[in-house]
Amino acid sequence: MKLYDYELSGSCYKVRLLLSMLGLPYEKVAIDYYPGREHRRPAFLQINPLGQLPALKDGDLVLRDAQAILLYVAAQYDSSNQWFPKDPATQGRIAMWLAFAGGELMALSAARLHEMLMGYEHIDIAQAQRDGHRALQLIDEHLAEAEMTGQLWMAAAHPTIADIACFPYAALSHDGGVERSAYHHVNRWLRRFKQLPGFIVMPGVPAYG
Amino acid sequence: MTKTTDPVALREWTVIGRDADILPGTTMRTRLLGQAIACTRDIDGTLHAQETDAYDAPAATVSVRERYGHVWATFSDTPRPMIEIPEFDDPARRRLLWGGVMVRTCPQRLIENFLDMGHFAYVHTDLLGSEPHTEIETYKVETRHDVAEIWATECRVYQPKASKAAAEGRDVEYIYRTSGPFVVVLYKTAEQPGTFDNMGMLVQPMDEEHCRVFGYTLLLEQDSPLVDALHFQQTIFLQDRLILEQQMPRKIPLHDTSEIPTRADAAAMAYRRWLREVGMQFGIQPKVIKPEAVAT
Repeated sequence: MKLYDYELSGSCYKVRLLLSMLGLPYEKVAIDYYPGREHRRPAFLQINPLGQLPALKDGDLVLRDAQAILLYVAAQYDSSNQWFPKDPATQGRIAMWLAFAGGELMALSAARLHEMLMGYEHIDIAQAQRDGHRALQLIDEHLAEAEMTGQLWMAAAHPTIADIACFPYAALSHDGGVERSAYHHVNRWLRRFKQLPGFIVMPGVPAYG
Repeated sequence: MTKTTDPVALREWTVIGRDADILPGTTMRTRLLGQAIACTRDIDGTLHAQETDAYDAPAATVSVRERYGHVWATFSDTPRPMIEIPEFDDPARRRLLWGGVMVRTCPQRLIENFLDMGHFAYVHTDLLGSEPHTEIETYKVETRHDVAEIWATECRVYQPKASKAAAEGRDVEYIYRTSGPFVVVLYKTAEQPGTFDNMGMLVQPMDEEHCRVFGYTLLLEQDSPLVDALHFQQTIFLQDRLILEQQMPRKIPLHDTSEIPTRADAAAMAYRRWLREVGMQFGIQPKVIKPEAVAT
């Protein structure tokens, strides 16, 4: 398996997390996302015409979109069926949070790009931070309700790819100037997540806290 | 914030972007020392810049020049000469530019962090340091007042993975060289014994509490892909960014004597002493004058 990867990308981190937690060997292809914008050059557009990271190559199969990759890797390689269980109701809940992780929650990614790198001046930072807060609040309320029934994870009684998809940008919110201290349920969930076997860090997401 | 009045900051050449960040026919807007500026590259490649105000009315001209792969600007008619880095002309070295990363802190905290070997084992665990190898041996520090440079030499530290190309841990020697308040260069033992890689951090102080940090690496080692080295460098820097943005106050408490330095901080102490000696104000936490100390 080949992962087209950028170390600072929260979306690539989703895939690195699952591969690590499953203990799967893979080859990293480092892409000069910043400052080189290699993901917009013709060679990479052949792999992903949308010009986005991550992308995964497994044999003849080429996949783009972190959420799609999580689904495939879990369905193909997780023999325990923990990360993407067979139960249709759980699958429905997971799909719901995968869409959220690639949708509303990406406001935190936009805020982060604006506050960290160059070339993202066009992003409306105030709007991105407001939307980021709204997304965190939604996770916080969801986890608060789930906790009342004894459920500590996003879509099931145990961690699934829904947790992996939502973890990185929630954990990186500070990078985009979105203060997270008011979201107690989110913060407890992030801490729980860091205790999972196979958890790995990325810059901006330390092992502690 | 409006443009600083600190002469120590105003006399500097400071980086505002990479050459490639301003393409022919485009204008880059940014801030330098509290002042909004616009830098334009004409179709023929020439660069020029000026201060701008809230109404975007053209104002004073800002001097700009290109060097070391970056665009440098100064507000001064008689700026302090730019640092000389002869390694840039060495054809044996591969040049890697890190790009700009924004950090919510003052420029001096960035320079101090770069000078600090004591944090390697804790912040860059298993890359630039690891426990129990936390000991920093005594090293030499020299302040060269005539050129506004501080040199820290014979700095030694054990590193589990000193570079992207390093296969195993080794003892590494560092030489640190600061030039003025916003630039610091590092010479570090390369994979080939007896040779030094060169890297530098070039700080663009946007205002007293916001900086953009640029950097470069001049690598002697030829084998590893440059993009791997870039990811390595950006990983190190983003680990620092998280810590730096938690340091409060954002401005550096230069006149506060409550911090007790250790011998590992000798380079940072020399830098702080130099900042005090030249009377720097920009980015510095103002001295608190206790009411009882004021004569009545």
